[in-house]
Amino acid sequence: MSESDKLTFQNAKFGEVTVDRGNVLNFSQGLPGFERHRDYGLVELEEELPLLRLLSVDEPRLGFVIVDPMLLWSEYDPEIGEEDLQGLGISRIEQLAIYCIVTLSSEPGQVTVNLKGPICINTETMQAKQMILVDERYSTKHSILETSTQEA
Amino acid sequence: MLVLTRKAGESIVIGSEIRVTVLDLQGRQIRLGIEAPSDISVHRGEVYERIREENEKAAQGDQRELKALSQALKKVGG
Repeated sequence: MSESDKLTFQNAKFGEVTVDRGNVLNFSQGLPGFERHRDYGLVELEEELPLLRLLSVDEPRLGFVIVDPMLLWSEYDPEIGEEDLQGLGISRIEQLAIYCIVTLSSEPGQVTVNLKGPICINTETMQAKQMILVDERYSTKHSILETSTQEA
Repeated sequence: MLVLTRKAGESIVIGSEIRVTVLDLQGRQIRLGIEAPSDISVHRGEVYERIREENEKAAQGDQRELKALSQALKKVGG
């Protein structure tokens, strides 16, 4: 793989980070609260799975932890508007990947996942957008512990 | 803030591509119709604010170690 297939950027926690360009997400509108930062490297570390990191390419101190919501809430079924999907160039369900942002806490009981604002990704182009659901079933704070105690 | 008075059925135009129409009034509620290009997102203000606040909170946690949480989740996922 040639150098141009890789992107290297700085991150406050990890130092120099290199990712494949195919793992760089572009949010054409940024994320609410972070509209100016549009490109994020998707970083997968074996010891952190199923959690993934989205690290801003241009702001070393900006990053999010994300998770596939279906792993925790298998019945998660967000209604994404057709126009939103079209905006990402998604016409087939196979092109769509959904992740949700995790809000961490030192208290395990207070670690939550934002099911109200899922991140939709066109896996072919890596265009991404954080959707804002109208759906009242989902909130910005679903406790992770809730699901793990149910299963235990 | 620009303040305009509109009657039901009247609209305002923002730029050349966004039109907001007052559809009807019922007591304390107003129904608005919004026409905008598909690349312009339209949201209820309070819901957008909740997402923005949650993102700002989530962004503060990215320096943390994830191993313990990851292991707990692996048990859940099997």
